[in-house]
Amino acid sequence: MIHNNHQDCVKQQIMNAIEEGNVIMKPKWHFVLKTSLAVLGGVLIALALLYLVSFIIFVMWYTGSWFIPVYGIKGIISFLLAAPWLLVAVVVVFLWILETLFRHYTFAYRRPLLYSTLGMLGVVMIGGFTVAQTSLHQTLLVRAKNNKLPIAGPLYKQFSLRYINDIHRGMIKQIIENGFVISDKWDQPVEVTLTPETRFPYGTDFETGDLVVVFGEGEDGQITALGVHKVGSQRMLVASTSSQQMRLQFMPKKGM
Amino acid sequence: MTTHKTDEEIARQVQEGQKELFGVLIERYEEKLKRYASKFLLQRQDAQDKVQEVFIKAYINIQSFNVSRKFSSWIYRIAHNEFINAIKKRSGESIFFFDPDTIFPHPLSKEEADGAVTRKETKELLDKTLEQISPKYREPLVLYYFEDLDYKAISEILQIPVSTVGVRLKRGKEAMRKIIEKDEQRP
Repeated sequence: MIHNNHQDCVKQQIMNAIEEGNVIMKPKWHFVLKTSLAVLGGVLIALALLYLVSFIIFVMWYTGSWFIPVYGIKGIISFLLAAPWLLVAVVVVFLWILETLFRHYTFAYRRPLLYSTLGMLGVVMIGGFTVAQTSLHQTLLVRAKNNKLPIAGPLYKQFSLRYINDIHRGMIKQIIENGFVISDKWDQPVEVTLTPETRFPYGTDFETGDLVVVFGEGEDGQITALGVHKVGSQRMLVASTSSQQMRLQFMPKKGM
Repeated sequence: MTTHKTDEEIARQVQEGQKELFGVLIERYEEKLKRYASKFLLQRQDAQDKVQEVFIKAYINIQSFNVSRKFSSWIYRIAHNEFINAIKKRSGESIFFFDPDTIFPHPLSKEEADGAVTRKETKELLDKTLEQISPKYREPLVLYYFEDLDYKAISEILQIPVSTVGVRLKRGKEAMRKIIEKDEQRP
């Protein structure tokens, strides 16, 4: 700051300071570099967000928790308990950083924060779902399982292979009298017992080789199922060995 | 020669190396910024120093100015940042870091057309009550009534939605009315 008599002309003081070289204009490249770094930072954060959101979707799909809310209040509670909240918190922080970066641009601040945040969230969610549909995370998980993924390996092992008490995802290996045997994420056999209370929101047409999500508490390799449903293809697990169809006829649910 | 040139043209010439033309921009904005500072900061001495700082920052950063935009909004934005920092440093006056008004859309986005008489009256009343109005509402009131800026320009300076400018002006005027009513009730 130029400390002179306040009665002096502001213009004269500033022009003198400029003339004497006490106030120096920053070069154009300084601002170009600053903007480029901000754009680069924004792009990296956006990519990180896409990766994280797709990873969260993959983890929830892989562990089976994604499908659980169809089982009512109990299912919703289990879904909330099983959600990877740490990753969700990281996503929120990244979204906040991105919003702060965008906030200085006309297109962002002219509109209410709600719109730009929802817009970003929408783009990130659509992008995340799209990336989750690819084989990216499955490939990385296989590499992590084989200890061939140096940095992200622990992340995949920790989140994808973690044990969630009442959510079990696996492939039907064998149909038995009161249910079936599935091989879980660790390729261990787990016996699933079906009862009259067991719910089948998407039907009972199961066969060996099907990927299923079983909702119910498990202990010592046995689960009493509160709900079972097929999650479709075998995309996420190793190919099935047998396709022998064994239609199961289950007792209808009580009250139905 | 420079008297017919726009602020943006002069700023471009300064960017190209004609440093002496920066003086023209100072001449054009000195009084405006001093008025803005004195009304917003409420301290004339502080205002003079701050305006000097604004011009110095404007000169240092003039290469970041996009000549396709309005120079007035750019320099007022620098002034806004400088004055907000001054208020933050000053004890006793609260300042807004996070404003819920900017989160949700507001229906009050249309610019109110005050009649000339109403506007003059409001200005007179504001002159008496400004120091009792919080900085959050004081600033848009100063920019609208004393600097004669429109909602869009204020939105660019404060970097808030245009509808939020309307909301703050409305609340600012309500605060002014409450202060006047209180004063009138005093014996």
